[in-house]
Amino acid sequence: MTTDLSAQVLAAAVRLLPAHQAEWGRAMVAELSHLHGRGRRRRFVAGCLRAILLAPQAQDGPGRSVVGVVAAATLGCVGLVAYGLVHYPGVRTGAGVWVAVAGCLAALATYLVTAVVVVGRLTESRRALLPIALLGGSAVAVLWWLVGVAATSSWVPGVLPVVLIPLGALALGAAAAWRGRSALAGRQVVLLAALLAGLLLFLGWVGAAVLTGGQPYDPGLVRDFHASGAADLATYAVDDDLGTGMMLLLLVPLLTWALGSVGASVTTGRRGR
Amino acid sequence: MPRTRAPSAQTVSVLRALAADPSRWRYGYELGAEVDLRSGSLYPILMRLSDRGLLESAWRETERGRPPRHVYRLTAAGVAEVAGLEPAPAVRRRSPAPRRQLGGAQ
Repeated sequence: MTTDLSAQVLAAAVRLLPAHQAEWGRAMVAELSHLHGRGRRRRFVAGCLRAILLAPQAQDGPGRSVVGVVAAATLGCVGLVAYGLVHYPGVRTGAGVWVAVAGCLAALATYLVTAVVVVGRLTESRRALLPIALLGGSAVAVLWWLVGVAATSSWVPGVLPVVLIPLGALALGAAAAWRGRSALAGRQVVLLAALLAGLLLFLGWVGAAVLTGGQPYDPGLVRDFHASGAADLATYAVDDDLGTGMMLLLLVPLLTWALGSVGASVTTGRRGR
Repeated sequence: MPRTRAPSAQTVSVLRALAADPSRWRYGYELGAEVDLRSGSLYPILMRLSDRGLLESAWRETERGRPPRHVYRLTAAGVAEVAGLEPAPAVRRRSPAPRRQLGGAQ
């Protein structure tokens, strides 16, 4: 039997179905095992994911909620990138922009698949920890947002978010591991929170940029704009924010997951003593 | 009072495809290909038809090394449901497109 990525994703995703529809999940998995061709298998799995996530269910659970939030955020990110490219055509002429967009879309697809697989593999008791992922991911995104605010205004001390970001990620991993009574549970919850944080930050960062034309413009940006020879300031600012957003989309989940995993391991190590 | 909502065009096409040979068990992918529906649309329809008692399903053994496959066919209630549907619209023949003349655009 083929156990490629499509099969693994579907096997994890069908676990999101409520118990009374579990047979339909097994039906999808069985049907996939009879399909050949990577494209055909991927399209089948993509459709099944849609059916699993969007079909009205009598029972709902935190697993579907988290995957639903990640899916919605992912679609929102794709929409923002598309809107930015259409509304600010000058962005499209930048060097390497299509490579960056392709990388961004690949990262978004990877995040969605990862979330489905991680949630699908969670045991029933660990799914009770998923609200921690939702709240923790949102909190981490806000802390990172404050870094940007601190850079352009004086009401947030610059050092505050820089200190709180690593502490927050460590605390998140520690809390999840403590509640789940295992380092693995902590790492799974932190991974979901990390993905969510990256997506939410991207939504906020790039969303604000494309809707305001990259305002407010700080003196450094204006100086760089004059030196760049770009056509207009708004396009230059949006281009800059889009690039920053894409970088944060990779950096935030990686850093949060790494620090959170440390927090989870340390907590279970201390607890086990 | 239970809602009686008209089935969607996609649901009707699935029902009609199954009703073409009500005794025959059908595979999901094959059925989807026949009515031009992807799995994302097909499975929710099959689930709803099953919940309404219009569809029955079973597991059918397949070749060695592969899991049994889920197969579907209409129940007697499903066959009656299809009989109560409005007749399928006749396929309208399109009038042939005007022949494009090579080099006609002067």
